Amino acid sequence: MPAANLPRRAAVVLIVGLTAACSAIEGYPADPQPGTALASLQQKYFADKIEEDYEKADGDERQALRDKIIYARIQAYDIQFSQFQRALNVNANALNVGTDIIAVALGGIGAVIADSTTKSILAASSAGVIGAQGAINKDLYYQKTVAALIAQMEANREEAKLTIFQNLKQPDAAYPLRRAFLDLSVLNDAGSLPNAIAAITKSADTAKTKAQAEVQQTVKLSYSTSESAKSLERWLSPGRVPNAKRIQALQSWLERNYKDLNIAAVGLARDDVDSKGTYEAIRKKALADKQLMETPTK
Amino acid sequence: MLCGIHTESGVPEEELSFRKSMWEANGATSITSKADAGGTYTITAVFPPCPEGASPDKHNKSPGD
Repeated sequence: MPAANLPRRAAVVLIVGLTAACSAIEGYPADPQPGTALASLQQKYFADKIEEDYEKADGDERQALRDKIIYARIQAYDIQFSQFQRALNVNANALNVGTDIIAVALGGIGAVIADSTTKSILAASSAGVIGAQGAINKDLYYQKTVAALIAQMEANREEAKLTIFQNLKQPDAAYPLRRAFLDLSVLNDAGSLPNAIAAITKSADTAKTKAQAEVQQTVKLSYSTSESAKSLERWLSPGRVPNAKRIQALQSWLERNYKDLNIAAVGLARDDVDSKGTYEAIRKKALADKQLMETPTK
Repeated sequence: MLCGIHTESGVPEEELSFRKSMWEANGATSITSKADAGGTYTITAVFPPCPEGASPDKHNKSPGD
């Protein structure tokens, strides 16, 4: 091999290596659509002329045009969302330890959004939600967060698309283009970070509320070694057989005297983990109640 | 009205069947048990959900009230 060719070969190897590395970082297959596809769709199906054509048309032609415009716009939103996703993912994978999460988030969004006001809103949303998680291992949090956000954005978009596809089954009179534009606008927003964050937050809040409700509705009991506990258990289950009549009598007594405490009759023979001493005092009162203690077993 | 979830921990194996039958007699709609680390069991007895605002853990009221 001539020595003069070595630098050229090295350059080729370097370029191939870098290209492969970029694909690995992006993590998506190459898009077979030409780079001009989005611009072409925008030029044709987001122009006033096509809407004017639709307004002039009638009957089947009008409905066919409606469908064509809607499908083309969905395709445009899909391409734009795909670009947005790739930009987010590239940034997530290319992170180094110590990289600032908010700066990266803004970088990813800034790559596909030109409007400065939108950028500010997204930055504020990201800072509010993600920034609150603290500075520990920011890059790892970000990678996980991006995956969750993308999954949520995809779910939101599928939901929005489903609405459109269902409405497209209706005739043009019931689902005109103007009405479809509203649904398309929802589809466009469904692929945004603020919407994904809002949906995830709402879902987390619902789960938290459910968990809190379950915790609040739980009475925790533990074994009691007190004499009153043993006496009460013997009374409730003479001969170690649960006596339904006495259990019911004690339950009614508890509901009359300690309605707010929600104590189970058989639980009173144990101790409440969260309120030491309460059950012991109530047991003593129950055992001292002659009328209650005289409840027959049958 | 008895409501919510009542858990009883530290139940020895030989007591498990008896205590479950006690909860059953008390009207629990569901009774399950699971082994604890120390060789004992925890029984979970479920009653109808508590009405909103009627948390079962209102122990601020003293027994003498």
